[in-house]
Amino acid sequence: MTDIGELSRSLEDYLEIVFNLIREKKVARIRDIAKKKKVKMASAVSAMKRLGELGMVEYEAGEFIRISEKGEQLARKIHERHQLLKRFLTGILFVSEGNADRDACAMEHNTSRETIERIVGFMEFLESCPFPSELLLERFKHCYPPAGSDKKITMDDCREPDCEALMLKAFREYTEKEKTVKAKKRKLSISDLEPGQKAKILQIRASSVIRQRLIDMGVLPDVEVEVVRRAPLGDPIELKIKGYYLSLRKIEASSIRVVLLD
Amino acid sequence: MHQKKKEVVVAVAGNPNCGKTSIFNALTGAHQHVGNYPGVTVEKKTGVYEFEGVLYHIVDLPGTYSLTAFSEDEKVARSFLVDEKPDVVVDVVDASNIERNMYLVAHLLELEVNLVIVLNMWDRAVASGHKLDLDVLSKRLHAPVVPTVGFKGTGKDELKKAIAHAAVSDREKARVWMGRDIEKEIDDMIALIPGNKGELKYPIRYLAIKFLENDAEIVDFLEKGNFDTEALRKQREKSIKRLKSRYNDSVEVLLGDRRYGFAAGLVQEATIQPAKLDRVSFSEQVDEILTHKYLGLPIFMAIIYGLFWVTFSLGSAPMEWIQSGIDFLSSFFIHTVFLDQKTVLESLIVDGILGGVGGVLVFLPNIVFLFLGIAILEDTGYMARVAFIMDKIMHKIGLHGRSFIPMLIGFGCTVPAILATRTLSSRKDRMITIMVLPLISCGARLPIYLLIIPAFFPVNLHPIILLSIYIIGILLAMFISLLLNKTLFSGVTTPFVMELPPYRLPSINGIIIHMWERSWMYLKKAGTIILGVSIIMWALSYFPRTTEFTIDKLIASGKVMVENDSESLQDPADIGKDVKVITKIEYANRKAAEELRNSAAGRIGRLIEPVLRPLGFDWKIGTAMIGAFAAKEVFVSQLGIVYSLGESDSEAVPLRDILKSIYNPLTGFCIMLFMLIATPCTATMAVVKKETGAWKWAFIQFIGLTVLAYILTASVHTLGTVFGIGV
Repeated sequence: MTDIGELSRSLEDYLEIVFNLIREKKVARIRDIAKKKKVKMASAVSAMKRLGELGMVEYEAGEFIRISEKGEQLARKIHERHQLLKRFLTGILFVSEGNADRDACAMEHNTSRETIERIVGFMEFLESCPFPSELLLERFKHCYPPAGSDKKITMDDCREPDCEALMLKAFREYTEKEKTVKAKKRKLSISDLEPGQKAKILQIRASSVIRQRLIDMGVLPDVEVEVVRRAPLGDPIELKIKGYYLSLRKIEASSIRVVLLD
Repeated sequence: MHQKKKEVVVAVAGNPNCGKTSIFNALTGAHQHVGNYPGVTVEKKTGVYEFEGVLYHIVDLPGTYSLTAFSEDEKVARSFLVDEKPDVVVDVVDASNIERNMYLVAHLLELEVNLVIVLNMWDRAVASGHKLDLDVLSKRLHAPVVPTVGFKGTGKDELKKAIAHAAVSDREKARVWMGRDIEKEIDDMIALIPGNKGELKYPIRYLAIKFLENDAEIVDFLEKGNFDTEALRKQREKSIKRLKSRYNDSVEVLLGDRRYGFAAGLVQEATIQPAKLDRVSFSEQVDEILTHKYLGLPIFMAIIYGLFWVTFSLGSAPMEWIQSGIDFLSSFFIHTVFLDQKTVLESLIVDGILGGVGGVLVFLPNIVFLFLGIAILEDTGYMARVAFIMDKIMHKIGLHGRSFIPMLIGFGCTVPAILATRTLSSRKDRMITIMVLPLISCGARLPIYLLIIPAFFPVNLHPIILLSIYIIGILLAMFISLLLNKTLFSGVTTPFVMELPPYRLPSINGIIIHMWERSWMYLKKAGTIILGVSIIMWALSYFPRTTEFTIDKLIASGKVMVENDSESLQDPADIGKDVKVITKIEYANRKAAEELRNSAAGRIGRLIEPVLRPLGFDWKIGTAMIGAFAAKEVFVSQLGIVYSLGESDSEAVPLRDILKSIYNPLTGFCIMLFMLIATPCTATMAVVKKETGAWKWAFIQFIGLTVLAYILTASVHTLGTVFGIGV
């Protein structure tokens, strides 16, 4: 399979142009090719001859240029690469359409293959999974070949294989954090809970004596508690914490901020 | 290895409800002694045992969850460890809840004590499927770990061996790692505490950590010890700021978190297989019923009634035996020893000493049974539920749920009620409860009410009047409690935060030791005081003696004749028209009345009569009240004597009639009111002194209650007189 790297930049251009012309106008004429490439017809002719030798096109003097299957596949790839580069500019950097088109071309010509490949790889990566920003750069590292190896990455290598799992995990962490933030704002305390509810402790806002006592009994941030019952007269409250049972007055319980666990 | 000592001091520490007491009992057997830590009301248990030629002194420290300086129990425990520096510290851990128990271990490690760990209730841990690697635990803690089943005595010998070994070994102590950031702060603090200020009684690292935590005792220690506290404070400020910005939490929380982290990590490392958690524990099931929303209260009332019944009904039979025994001894002395001769010695022995001894022993059955009941409730774990259920009400009057039982017992007798306040762990709660307990109308006042109410009030009002007295008592107790909360004992709110321990089957042995020790303490401490005061009271009513009796003068002048003499006359008509004939008993009674009148008690009564007038009382009531100081029931008998009726009881109609004729209902009510509030009996004062450790409180209570009684009664009497109620 001929790869992109095997043609010169110039020839890539020609191939792409032929491909586009055939798509647009059904035929590719030397005159149109030369015009598009902004070269003399003679240059276009020699390029076509060369492409023909490589089996990309079928060139007969005086005839329309036809693109071979091999050539078409390659052309598509080149085209896709061009589009990715353009999308990089318009979609990520919000460059205007006109500039993006021209710059994509320019990049294809003036930037090293490595850079092009990296950018293309990056776009593949992005489009394969809607990463949360924290996870993004961490996962993109997988796209690079290990230092010192000759392994060439292809665009497919950069696609994220575990997207679903990662997204679920990120989502869970996100909702947890959001809940915590909301809970802190909502100021839910143990005294607000009903028997049977489980919660996680966020903060203890009691006076020093009571707070120390609570700490000594294991009431600390991130500890899980379960409200077991209220006393028959309504106060105090019985909690299950760290495998044993603790009772405290509602007023003491109201100084312990929690977030509900479901 | 140290030189082997001949005597070793061992302290036993541990969480409450971990079976520490049974370990203590297993080690010491019957050789234990209960006392108080000096200056405080915390109970101190000590004992001894001998092992391989060495004598081991064991001190059972109060059960604590931690060693911070807020509660009295913890202060006492910590002071003992720091000041007495026991050779070995045995920490008793509940094997089914190691993590929380390890938190205390973290504190002990900070004090760098010579540790031996006991995993008690090992059978339950095994039954739950929890498998532990004891070697790992031992290695991490640098201490021997001994599994035991306390109440069975299993593991006792291994424990003794471990203690003996620890006493002579010199292992490097384990350290609790607080995390890089906090350790840095600790190091910075240590740098400012020079170690060459002589031998410090605290480890330097401990000082640093505690100062960071702003521990009151340590701060005090450092200030008094010429340390550069300015620099230390600045350092602490820096540390607090740094840690707050990093973790957004206070130092206490962070350190607490690290210590629990240590505990959790330790347990995790040593756990081969965790306990099975699927089935709902037996304890939880029982609590479902006992603290049920609707069933809980009725069941509670039944159990409480049971306690009351055990204390007073079961105790009444032995009480009667004791009373008969005393009576027997009395008549023995009166007839056999003194041959019916009324001498000073005879009166001293019979009325003074035997009366006094009776006064002490009479409480004993109640107390023994009360302690039995309380021991059962405590050891099964139900006592915590009592506090849990009653706290809402108790808290409203500024007390703790645990104050309920003493208050309840107070309806029977104040003395065991005060002794029952031992179950309160907070000094403030205990003090306030003790102070207000006499306001709960006790059983001894009942004879007074039963004398006065029928004397002055119509039958249909009897229940209401009686109830009103009880309610007044309760209301006053609540009010004074709230008042004391705000004034005398104001300050730090004591947290309620309390563990509900799992239900356990109590060990009979433990309960009996528990019961015996406490009862014996009562006898020794309170008994001596009560006996002493009884003798003083006897003297007050006995001396000075009357030599010339008015009745004798009347007989001599022919105006009165004693019945017996009149029999010798043939003709009743020979008795003169104006001559009054009285029976022998009447003669004796008249003499007794005059004796009382001339005695110290009588004179005091007459002396304070002007003061008693605003209350509607006269000197006779005053004298009776002085007698009531010894014991409330004495009021009735003294009143009887003063009215020449001899020692009558509440059923005596004549006394009622006399009272009715002389006083009015308002005064009657005032008598009851005054007796309700004032003059806690001698036994009460003795027991207050014993439980609070100082006479000061007994006197404050006495004066306070008397003043309160005076003001209230005077007000009632004045208002009543003004508005014409009951006059």
